[in-house]
Amino acid sequence: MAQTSTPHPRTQLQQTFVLSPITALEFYHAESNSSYLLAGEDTWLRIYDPATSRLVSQLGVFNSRPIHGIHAWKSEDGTPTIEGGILIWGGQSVIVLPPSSVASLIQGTTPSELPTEFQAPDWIYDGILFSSNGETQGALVTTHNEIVTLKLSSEGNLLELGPVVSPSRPILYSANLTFLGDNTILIAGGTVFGEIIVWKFYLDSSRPSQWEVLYVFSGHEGSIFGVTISPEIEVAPGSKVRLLASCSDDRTIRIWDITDRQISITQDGMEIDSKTLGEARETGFGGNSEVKEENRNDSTRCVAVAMGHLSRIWHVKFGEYTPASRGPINVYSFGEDTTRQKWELSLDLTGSEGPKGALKHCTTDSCHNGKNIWSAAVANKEGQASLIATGGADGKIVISGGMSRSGSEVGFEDFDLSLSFDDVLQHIQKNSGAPSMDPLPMGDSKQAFQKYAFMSDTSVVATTSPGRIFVADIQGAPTWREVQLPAEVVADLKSYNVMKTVALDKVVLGSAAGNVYVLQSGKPIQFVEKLPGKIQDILPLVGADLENWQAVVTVLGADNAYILNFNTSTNEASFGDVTLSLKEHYIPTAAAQVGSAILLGSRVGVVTIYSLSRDSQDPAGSLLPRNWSRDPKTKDAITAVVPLPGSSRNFLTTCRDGKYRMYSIWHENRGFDLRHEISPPMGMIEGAWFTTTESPELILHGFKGKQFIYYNATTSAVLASLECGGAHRSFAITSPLTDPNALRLIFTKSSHLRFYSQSSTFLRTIKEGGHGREIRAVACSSSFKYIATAAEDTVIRIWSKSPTGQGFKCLATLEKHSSGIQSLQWKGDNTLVSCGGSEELFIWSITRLESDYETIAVKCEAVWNFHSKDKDLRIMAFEFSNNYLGEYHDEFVIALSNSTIQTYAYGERTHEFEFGSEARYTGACPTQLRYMPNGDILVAYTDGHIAIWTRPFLEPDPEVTYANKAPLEMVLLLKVHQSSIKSLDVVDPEDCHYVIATGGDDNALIITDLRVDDDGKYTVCGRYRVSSAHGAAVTGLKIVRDDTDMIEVVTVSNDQRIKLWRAVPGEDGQGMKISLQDNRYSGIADVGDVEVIESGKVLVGGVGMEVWDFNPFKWL
Amino acid sequence: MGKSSKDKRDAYYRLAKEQGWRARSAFKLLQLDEEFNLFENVTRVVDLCAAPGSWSQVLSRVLIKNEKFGRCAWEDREAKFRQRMLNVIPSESSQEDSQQETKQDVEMANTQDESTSRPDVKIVSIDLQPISPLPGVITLRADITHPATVPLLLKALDPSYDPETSTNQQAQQPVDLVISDGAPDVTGLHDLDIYVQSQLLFAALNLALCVLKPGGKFVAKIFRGRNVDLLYAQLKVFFEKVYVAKPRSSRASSVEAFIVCINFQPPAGFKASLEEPLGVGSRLAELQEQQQDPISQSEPSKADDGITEVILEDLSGADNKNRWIAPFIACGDLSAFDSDASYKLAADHVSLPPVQPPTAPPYKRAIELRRQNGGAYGKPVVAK
Repeated sequence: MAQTSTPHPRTQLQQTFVLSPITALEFYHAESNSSYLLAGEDTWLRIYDPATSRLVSQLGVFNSRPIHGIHAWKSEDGTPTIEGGILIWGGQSVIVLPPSSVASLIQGTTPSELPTEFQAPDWIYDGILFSSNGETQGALVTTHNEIVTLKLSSEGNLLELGPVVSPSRPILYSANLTFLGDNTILIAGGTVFGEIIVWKFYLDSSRPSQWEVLYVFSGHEGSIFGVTISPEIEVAPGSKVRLLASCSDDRTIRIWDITDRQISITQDGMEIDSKTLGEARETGFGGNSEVKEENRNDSTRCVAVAMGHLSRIWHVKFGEYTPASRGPINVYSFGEDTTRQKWELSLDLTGSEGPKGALKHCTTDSCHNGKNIWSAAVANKEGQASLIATGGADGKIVISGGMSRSGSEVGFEDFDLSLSFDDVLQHIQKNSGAPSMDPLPMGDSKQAFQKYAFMSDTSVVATTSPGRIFVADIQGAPTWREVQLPAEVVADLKSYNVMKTVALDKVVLGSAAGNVYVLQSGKPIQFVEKLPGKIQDILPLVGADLENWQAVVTVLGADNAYILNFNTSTNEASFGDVTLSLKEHYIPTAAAQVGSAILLGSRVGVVTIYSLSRDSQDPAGSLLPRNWSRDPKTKDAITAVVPLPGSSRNFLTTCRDGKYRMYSIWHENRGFDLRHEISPPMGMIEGAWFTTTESPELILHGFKGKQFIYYNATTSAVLASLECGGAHRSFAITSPLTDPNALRLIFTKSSHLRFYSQSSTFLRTIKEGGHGREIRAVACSSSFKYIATAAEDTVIRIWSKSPTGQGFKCLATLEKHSSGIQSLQWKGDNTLVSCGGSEELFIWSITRLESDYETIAVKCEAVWNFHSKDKDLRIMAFEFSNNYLGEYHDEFVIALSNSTIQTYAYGERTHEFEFGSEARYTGACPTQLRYMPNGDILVAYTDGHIAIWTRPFLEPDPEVTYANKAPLEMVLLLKVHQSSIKSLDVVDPEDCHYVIATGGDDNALIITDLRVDDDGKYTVCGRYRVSSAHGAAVTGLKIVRDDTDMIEVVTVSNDQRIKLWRAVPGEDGQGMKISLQDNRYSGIADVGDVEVIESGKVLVGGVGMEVWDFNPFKWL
Repeated sequence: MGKSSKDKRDAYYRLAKEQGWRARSAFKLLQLDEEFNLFENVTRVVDLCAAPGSWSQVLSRVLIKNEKFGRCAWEDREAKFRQRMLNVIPSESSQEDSQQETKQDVEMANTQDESTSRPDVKIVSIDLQPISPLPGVITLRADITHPATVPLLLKALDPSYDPETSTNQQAQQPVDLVISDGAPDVTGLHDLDIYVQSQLLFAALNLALCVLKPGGKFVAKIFRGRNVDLLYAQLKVFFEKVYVAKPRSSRASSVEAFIVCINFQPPAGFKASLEEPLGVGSRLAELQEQQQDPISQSEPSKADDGITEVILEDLSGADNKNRWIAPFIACGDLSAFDSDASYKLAADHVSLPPVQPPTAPPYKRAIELRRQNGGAYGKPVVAK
């Protein structure tokens, strides 16, 4: 290519990262008998190893359209096999990856040649590959219920598409294909109007008719979003059924019997002939005789109906079924509500009208953020739980079941036991040789379990109401034995006792009489001391020396709490002379040592700090509290205090109000500051710890409704969720600190002891995702350290760039907004402001705490609260600056949906707003707001105008909190667009010369050239329009270069193109020349914003996130 | 959210109730008409995907009852006043405007001229869902994508039409205007939603091609998303002028817009048929190939508004074959209510009930069942 004469080379865009919805999933079984997961992510096919979550390889399949479906060759019983290739489609495009290419992808290498892309005549809903008469063939079904056959070469390359065949052409929302053998394909199509058409297609084109309609079902009341044909299922010896599962807008899942039974069907008049289908029908909305006939058909063929999801259901699939056991058939459904639900279908074959059945709801697992599970794959292997993968709008992939769990090095078993008191007694009597204590009577309903404590990962202690102590040793399965106790200890522990694990192999017990005991394995119980009153609780002092551990023991009604010390050399525990002085009615519930401070949490949410230095003792030797603090909004108990790993001044608390908080201790332990406050998806948090892995992770447990939740707060993953009956019960939990996915949990449920153990988490994340709804705003902190994104799901996410340079790590999710977020802006790297609907504007402090735990601390520092009466306006945009109101105040300018802008002073120290002035426009809604470089305020409106407002007095006055109460004046009003202005940026390439770029709903890009004189008077030098800059609204715009001789603008639009424009002043400074430098397909639908995240890089946010590099064109 | 709150948030929702419209979308058609004079010299109209019938209601009131709707019907008087004050409307034109307005004020927002009777008017509305009867409108319940709907429609337009003897799917007495406000149940999978909407648009176009007379007009809802420029170029095969219009009553935050196609000019030798519909397969691509002149992208801008239209230099090298971006036209005067803004209601504002309850959604039964079972998360449990 020849060099051009232009001094500036062309600027090009290059996509370097994409996080998009997972729109297709499929399992593939390779020769090595290992399974792979194939995912469609925008135009990319990505192959993951489900055992390790590793990305094996990726391939850009289509040029500019997302993948919508993947089909891997399957054997006749439906299990994926290695024989054939992989069929991939998206929209009308289709390719086949031949087996050789698949093999190299599995090896991690990209095949040298990409197969030819073919265009189907219509949008494709499903496709299959199969072998018929020794030849590899394929078929597609399209939106209009049409079949298109595929002809493949012997190497498995797609050669051509066959003719289109269809019995009738309604618009479908879903379809599924199955090869029946014998040259026949079975098709199920779900229509937009609530019908399901089941028909057969014969490959033999010499037949008089290549199709035969079997059934038309019209039981659903809305669009059919998912249909799946089951394999033939042997339900009784010699008796097979074939079922169809469907799901719809009407929130129901239905199972239909589509078994091919030739007899008696025609007599019923249920066969639908072509004439019936050809006639105009009042489809789906009932009324004439014909529909009644179909309904008759429905009632005999509809096997079961169930309702489960909170909103629409997108997919329903058949899971595992063991013919030998004749048990229920598992069915899985996947919905808009991001849950996957498991159902058991039981069949009754006794009736004369074919099988009848019932769907029983089993489990609901919430897998994704925001909304929508867009793709799901289920692979069934005999004798194993189905392997199930789901992909969400959030770009996350979650998998469960099916394979031998690999992760657990610690060797936790998988079991879930429920034992009555008698079960355990029986067990003990069987195991013990000659009991030295009297055996407890069987069948006494007053005998119950009381408290639990893990001595170690393989040993758990249970106290009982008769005062006896049982121990379960776990090797494979738990074996029970009884701890030999002196009779007086049994009597002391009877009815009431408290018990806690304080260190490995060290359990402390306390009694109503005030006696404290220590239990170690292989040793008789040690009596420590009698304290003056009933032992209320034993609180391990988290963070104290692990060898010589300590615990805080509290006594009912006492003014002091006692500190129990353990001496490793004597191997004995004793109380020291130091006690902790308590305020009146102060009931400690958690304790920790952080550096030289002791922290106590209380039953009503108070955290108290003590210093171990001598000068804070009272004459009696009791440590006096240095300070205390309580969140005014909570009265719930602090359940844990934990030092941050590797930190001597930062700690974390968990609370029954569902939040966890982080604090920093002041110099000399004089107090502490709240730095971080977050509500994970739990109702009550009962405890927390950090893993000892290379980068520590925060693990929480607690209750949500009737569930026990075990949660990784670092990865936002639910590691276990068990129905336990709700909070307020005895339980104990342990997990190896090196592998948080393994877990043992013991608790009481309806007078039974339930003992649960998992080797690994049930749901595993193959790939982390992001927002589950459309991103509306993107903002980068001033040193490019953090990126904040806000979405329709009302969540703000804070990201850092991943150290590998590709992608992002989500550091925090902020959930406080109650409706859609409109705008985000940083001040430096530590303050973020967000605004949105319901008149919400929040100021967040974002800091990093000194600790080995890699996270940021986030809290909402201030809330704007000048609400209107109904609090129903939207805050559309805002800006703030500390240039105008002196050192300690920021000016805030806020644009509201009632056509007004308002100014405020915000005190950096007081965290309070003070109203300044207000200006009202015509009634049109403001959409964008920016400071001009001279401090004037630029506002864009839905009527296509931009206005510049000025404040007459701008003298900073540190004495007055807010001097500027003078009214705002409009100094310039310009019509630039025909309708709403969707995006805006402003720069000053030189002094007093401003360039405003705007993108409109009218598809146009407008560049406005302004000069301003010293009196603040504006002159419009020109307005330049590119009318059809995009095919749709220009929703994001950023000026990425502002030299005196050229500006460059990146625009993004709902048309899914990203464009880079260059504007250069015309000859002799007259006019403006605009050129389109680059124009690329973007995978981001419904795009909301674009932002520079470092020099030469922009982030595009919408349905997903994309990074584009823009560089001067490199001549090769 | 109370009823009043929706009145505040959505000015057109409130106006629709006050002015007796079945749905706020009536204003979209009225504002499109204001810009494009859609109803000028129009007597025969087909309305597709018509339920609940607000567009047919507009047709009925304008064409049958001879009512006229000026911009006063959706004008925000306060906005107009403020526009004058802020000089949004330039002073010369505002004088002109005020003269016009005096006339309009006399006419009021809507007037009815009983004297001119329109016996030749024929309006046929089609939807799968029932439409409550409207004066002078023939309503059909049928699937617009189904070939069997054509004879039904032809019969309704021309009672002498006999489907048994006629082999032609072309109307003998064609219509002047075909309109469609149909949209699918959007799933949120944008790609699919845009495609299904384009298929509804093609379904409407295919029917329109059977019944529209040369020179006729076609108006349909469109989603402006990926590849919409391909669709614009395809529509341009059949019409002299194609615009994409956004009425002020359609929210700026919505991807919805309206395609306004003027002067139907079927390509030579083209025969419409629902047996061989456009929108799938290769027929349309072939028609585009046959088209002699490539469509030029630059159309003169709507008005001389002082903004310089740039002659763009395209260095991107992107393939624009069969792509064309229809000129955008915003409809509805600037003083129209803003569908994105929040409005203050008068202190004595009474929120009216809707003219017609919205069509029951398919999940209505699910909601009822859930309510019976005590809300979304089962029966509330009283804490001990």
